[in-house]
Amino acid sequence: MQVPLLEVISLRKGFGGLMAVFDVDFIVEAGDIMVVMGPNGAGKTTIFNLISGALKPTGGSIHFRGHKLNDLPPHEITRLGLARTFQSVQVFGNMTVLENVMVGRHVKSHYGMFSAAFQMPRARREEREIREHALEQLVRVGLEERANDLASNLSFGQQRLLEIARALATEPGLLLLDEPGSGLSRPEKEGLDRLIREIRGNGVTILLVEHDISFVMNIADRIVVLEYGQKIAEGTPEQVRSDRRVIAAYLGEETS
Amino acid sequence: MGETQQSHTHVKYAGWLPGRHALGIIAFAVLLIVLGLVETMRPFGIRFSDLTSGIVTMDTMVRAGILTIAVVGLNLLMGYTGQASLGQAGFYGLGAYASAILTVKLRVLALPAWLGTVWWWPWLVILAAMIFVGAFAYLVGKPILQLRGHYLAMATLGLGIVIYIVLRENFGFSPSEFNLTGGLDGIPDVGRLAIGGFTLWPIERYYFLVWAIALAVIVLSLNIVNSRVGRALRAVRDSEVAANAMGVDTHTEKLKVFVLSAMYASLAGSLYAHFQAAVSPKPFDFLGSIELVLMSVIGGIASIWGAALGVAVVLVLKELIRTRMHLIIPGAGGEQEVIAFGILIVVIMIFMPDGLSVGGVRFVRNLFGKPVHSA
Repeated sequence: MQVPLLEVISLRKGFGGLMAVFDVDFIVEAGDIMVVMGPNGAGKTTIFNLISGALKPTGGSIHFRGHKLNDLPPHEITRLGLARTFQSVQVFGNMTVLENVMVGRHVKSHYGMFSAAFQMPRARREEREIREHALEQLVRVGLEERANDLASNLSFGQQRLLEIARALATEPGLLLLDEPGSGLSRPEKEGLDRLIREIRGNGVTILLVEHDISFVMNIADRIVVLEYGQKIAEGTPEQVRSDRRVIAAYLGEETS
Repeated sequence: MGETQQSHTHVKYAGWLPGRHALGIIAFAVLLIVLGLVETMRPFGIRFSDLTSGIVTMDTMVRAGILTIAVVGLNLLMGYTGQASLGQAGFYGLGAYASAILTVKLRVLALPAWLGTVWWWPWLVILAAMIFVGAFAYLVGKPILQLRGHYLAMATLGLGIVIYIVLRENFGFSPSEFNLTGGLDGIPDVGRLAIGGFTLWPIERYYFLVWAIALAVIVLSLNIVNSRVGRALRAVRDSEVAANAMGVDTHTEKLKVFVLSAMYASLAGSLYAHFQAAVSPKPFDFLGSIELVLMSVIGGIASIWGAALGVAVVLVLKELIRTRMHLIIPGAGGEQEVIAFGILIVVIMIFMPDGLSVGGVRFVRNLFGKPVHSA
């Protein structure tokens, strides 16, 4: 049995007296598309922030490719091969689309201030590689036409795609997508579905948080359902859809 | 998503001199050389200062070059990482005093006196001062760069004031026992720089030195800004949380720029000491830092070229007001000059809040009917 790509063990996060996440366990196997689902306030984005290192756990542990992530800062976690997008889109607004993705290439490049200042051969070589690789990611998400535009001039849906391209530039083993579909139109969501499958097809494991139940049921291999910070169900879409507790949690919000 | 040829998208590539800036740099260098030659050779007996009715003299141009170096550092720090710095004059002062003390106060420091006679010693001092100030900035920056926004601004403000007071108060020593900084009077008789037997004085020669160094600083800084380092810095400015998520160690990057910025200021300070042939604490107080920030902001905080522009505008404005104001308002004195200066600054900031480099470009483009994408 292979070591799972991501292991979340008894994860807890408290803010003062409030337990946002309480004893959550799950595993993500390499190659899967795993979805974390739940009503508002269930703790989904908190879990994401814990995994990506933006927040520190109060208890429990997170393991990625065998490394314990608990005490690592976010930039170290990215270096290990875990990348994320943000629910409230965080593109670098004053940089071009291409430059945004090139920043994603930071972990795969090395030249420093001195080499940059004096335009050493190593700097020029790496710079060329960074540019080419970044452009490839833009082609993958379909934004290559906008490469030289300012990121803040993109539409919301395009900015979401830009974030994905930027995260892909880090060559992640695991990609965390935080509500990638929210605010997208139906055709945009269909495009997103295709893109996610294509990314997985290229060997990247996907963990996503999403609200839209029909979107989730289509794309997920496995689902974890949270309510009030606790895991209430886990399994395939079919298993989860018919789980009594899941239906109860969503009663009054949406029907599947 | 479809396959699209990569050659479809015009990818701007940075060559030896940063891409599209190469033309600007060469043009600027030519301009500087021409100005310098006019002053030096005085064709038809005319000097550049005659052409500007005495407002822009050689003295102003040398000052501009020195200040540009310090302000480029400030732009890198404030414009590209979004960190406030109200203490840049402190590092500027450290560089100036280091150069003055280590060339004039050799006996006080128990250093061999012959060092004061060799031409290369002051250059070594300049380099050593940059390294020392850089190290100092590293030690101080490590803790204070964990602060954000106003708190960071206050910390840098405090730092600048502490440096000023230490210099002014001779490190707390009694001047009769151990006169290191000269207290309020400062240090006179700082020598001129020379290369081999060639003294870099009178002022025309020093002008070429200062601007050669300033241009080098501009080119190196442009190279940094257009590199992966520069992108990481701008990412920190635009969204520190996303920059971290993309693998940028934001704390270390901010610290690196803080150190680099301090080293630029130190270099500028050393050049200032050898220009004034003396140092005193006054230019390095809080107001000195404010003036540097002013030049940075007027020119355009996130622009390397903006540094030179901001310096030029502020120096020229001050000279204009000082020499011409009494023509508009008879009997106007120093206080009125300060008010006038302040009003002009406010007006510029109202109409061009991004600074003249950005606002100026936008203005010219609008003139030619080219709509500009909002930044």
